[in-house]
Amino acid sequence: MKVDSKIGILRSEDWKVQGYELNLNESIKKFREVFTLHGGHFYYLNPDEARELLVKLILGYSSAMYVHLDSRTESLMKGLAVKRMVNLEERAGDPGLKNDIKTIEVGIGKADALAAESGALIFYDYDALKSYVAFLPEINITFASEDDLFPTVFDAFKKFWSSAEVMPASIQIVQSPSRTGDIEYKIVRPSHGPRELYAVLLKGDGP
Amino acid sequence: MHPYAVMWASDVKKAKGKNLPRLPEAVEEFRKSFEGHFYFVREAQELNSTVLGIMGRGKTVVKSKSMVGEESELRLYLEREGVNVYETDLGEFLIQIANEKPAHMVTPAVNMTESKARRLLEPVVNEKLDDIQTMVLAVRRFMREKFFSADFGIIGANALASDTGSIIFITNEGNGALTSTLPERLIVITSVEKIYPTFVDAMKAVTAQTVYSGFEYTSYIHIINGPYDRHGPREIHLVIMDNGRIRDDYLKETLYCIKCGACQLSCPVFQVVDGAWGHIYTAAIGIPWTAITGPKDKAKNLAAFCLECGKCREVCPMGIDIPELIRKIKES
Repeated sequence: MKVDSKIGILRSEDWKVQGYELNLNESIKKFREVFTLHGGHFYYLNPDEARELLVKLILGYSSAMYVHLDSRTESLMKGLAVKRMVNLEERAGDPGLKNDIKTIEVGIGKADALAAESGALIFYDYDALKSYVAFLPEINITFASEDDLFPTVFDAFKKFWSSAEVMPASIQIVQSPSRTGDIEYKIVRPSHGPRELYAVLLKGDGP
Repeated sequence: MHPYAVMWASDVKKAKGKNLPRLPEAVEEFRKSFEGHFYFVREAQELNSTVLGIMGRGKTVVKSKSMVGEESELRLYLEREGVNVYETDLGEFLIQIANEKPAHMVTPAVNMTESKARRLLEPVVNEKLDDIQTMVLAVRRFMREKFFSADFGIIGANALASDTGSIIFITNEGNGALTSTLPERLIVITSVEKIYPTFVDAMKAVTAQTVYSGFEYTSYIHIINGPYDRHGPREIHLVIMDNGRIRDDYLKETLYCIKCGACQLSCPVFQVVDGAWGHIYTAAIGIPWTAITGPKDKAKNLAAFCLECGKCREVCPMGIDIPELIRKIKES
């Protein structure tokens, strides 16, 4: 991969969105407003509350998969009562993985960034596993830390490119649950992606 | 939402203005950055044969929406050559089953009623379908197995970035995500005017396209920079088409089009006859696109129906003088 030159190019770009600046509280408020308007569910919780929420959300589901959690979010997963729990990283490279995750109901991941202005979850994906968690299951639960929240997508990119060393194979930006209006412009959810989308912003220092 | 969308539309126009006078050079610049197999084709039929050459016969393919694919009638060609193709966008799937052409650039089955959609879908999914919600869920179940078993995914692109070799496409359904991450091989089909000088330009372009299409936001923005490690497509093939776009006459103004479809929805003729007024591209900017990509005399016949009311020009984010283009086609 011609990595160095591309990262260098992106580092030198002007990612400033004119006249759009928010502090943390304003960003949280804006993200909540837009994400909820788009059909997502947003929570701003401490780790204990987040764990309680996670237990409640997966109640009734028998299968879940998770990937690329940091140490704080991984600790929320301990002892979750799910009949089948798949840690995608432990199975990375296994050719049978795709078949095993075909019917998994819940996907749990951590966003690389959130963008307040567009209510967006941003994932930098190198091995397609974050995409599988974000797009395959019926329910997607995405955690994030306060440090991950930016006013706009461009602000998030600016931070990422400033320290990234390897170009991700893909960048996925998720702004709402899956939907379609292709029949008579009547919007229904879901189409092929998740029916329900949860963004849980953890209070305090991460990870 | 996106209070800077108008400003960004202006930036997109300037970015396009840098590349449109020098498309062959822009294609070469993109080729150098792109991390995959690159093919440039002049004609629509060449796109089809190139795609077939990449995949071979007897394969199963999942495909997301592409107007370039409609131009070349790629799906019909592949089906004739023994490839099983599944259109994964709901509107395109309905068009596929009905064996019709898309009525609109963004919502291809906009002219289809719920009852017609039901009549088309029930025998395919083999279920009784009460309402639109159950139809969409039935298609989800039907298509899920196809995503997992497909040999290839085919996607279109909304924008390409020359500096990073990135491909950007947008969807609301999530079909594009599954098409571009589940099969082990991915083919991207697109056209030369979608190349922007920079990643920033390309991001602004997809935002402007979303906002001006009337959706306010798109559920998903996908950016592909190269093949994946370990899972997902390990091969990416990009086929980029000219098909009349590299030119130096009055029609080149058409290439500023970002395919938002706003002009179509504002057109009083389209509102009465919808996709019947067009060839592959319909109504308003669809007439100049037909002149570029399709038979010129077809465009002239279609142009006769334009009222030259100017509504399309008023809503176009790129400020294309569509009625003037159509008038010139009428006189040509």
